[in-house]
Amino acid sequence: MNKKDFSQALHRLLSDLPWADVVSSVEFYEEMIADRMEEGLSEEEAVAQVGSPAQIAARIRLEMPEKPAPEPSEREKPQRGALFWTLLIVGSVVWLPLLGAAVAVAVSLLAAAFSVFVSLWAVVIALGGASLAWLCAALLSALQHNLLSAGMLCGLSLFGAGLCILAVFFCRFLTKKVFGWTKNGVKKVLDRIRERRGSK
Amino acid sequence: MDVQMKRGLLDVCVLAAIRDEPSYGYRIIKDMKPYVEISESTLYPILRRLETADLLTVQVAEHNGRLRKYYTITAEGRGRIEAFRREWEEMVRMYRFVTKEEVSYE
Repeated sequence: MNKKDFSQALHRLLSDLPWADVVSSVEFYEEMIADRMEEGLSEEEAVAQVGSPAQIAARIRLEMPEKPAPEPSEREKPQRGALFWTLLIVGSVVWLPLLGAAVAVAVSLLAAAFSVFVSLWAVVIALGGASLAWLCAALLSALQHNLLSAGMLCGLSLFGAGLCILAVFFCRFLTKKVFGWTKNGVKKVLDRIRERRGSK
Repeated sequence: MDVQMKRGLLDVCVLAAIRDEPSYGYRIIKDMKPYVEISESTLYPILRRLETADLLTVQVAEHNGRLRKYYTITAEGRGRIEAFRREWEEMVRMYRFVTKEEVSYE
């Protein structure tokens, strides 16, 4: 290949790029060939040393985006081409059950946590009910002039009421904390997803 | 070597090749050859990048009946070489620390 063929080929291969870029690229390589010829190489040898127009054009294209911003997006796009979607669909045999299992585990953990709360609140209600029942029994005993058992039942009722109030505070505290954690956790996960979407 | 790192190093090498006097493409490649081999398709984007970043300027001059581009380093280009030197001293200290066989704490 002589210098003229080389220049024409390179011109053609870069023809869709901005004109000024094409001219300056071709001039650069022409100068390289001329400098080599000045050193005593033949035209053919000089052209061969510089490389094939196809390789050079590919290299120029690779380095062309001078702005750093569009570079990564252009590199990412082909990654999500046909291959990505094919793999996604073929791989669904593997990742769908795994995803399902992960969701099931998360849901069951949440259900377990909430059932603990439900049972705690059930204890509170039971204590409240018991203390009321003891109070009623105490009143009945008092009406029957059985003062000893009325006093004992009254004491039990007070004890139950006290326990119930303590349990209410404890449960409220725990519930608030755990709801807070869950809310924050979900928020964090959603923020992460949003961030990722935003960065793309 | 990390691509980004190598790119930065080659930038400084090219600047060093034109530090003492303006030079042209083929001579830059020849001057660098004993130290690091680069092809014209590697050099070309580097020169463009350095020109865009104002680290060098380009002059066209006649030579043997044809035009040749000469590259001249700018003050910013010299600043880049200096910055490289300072950074490299730190890198060398890190390298010594990493390759040190036994660290004594006494």
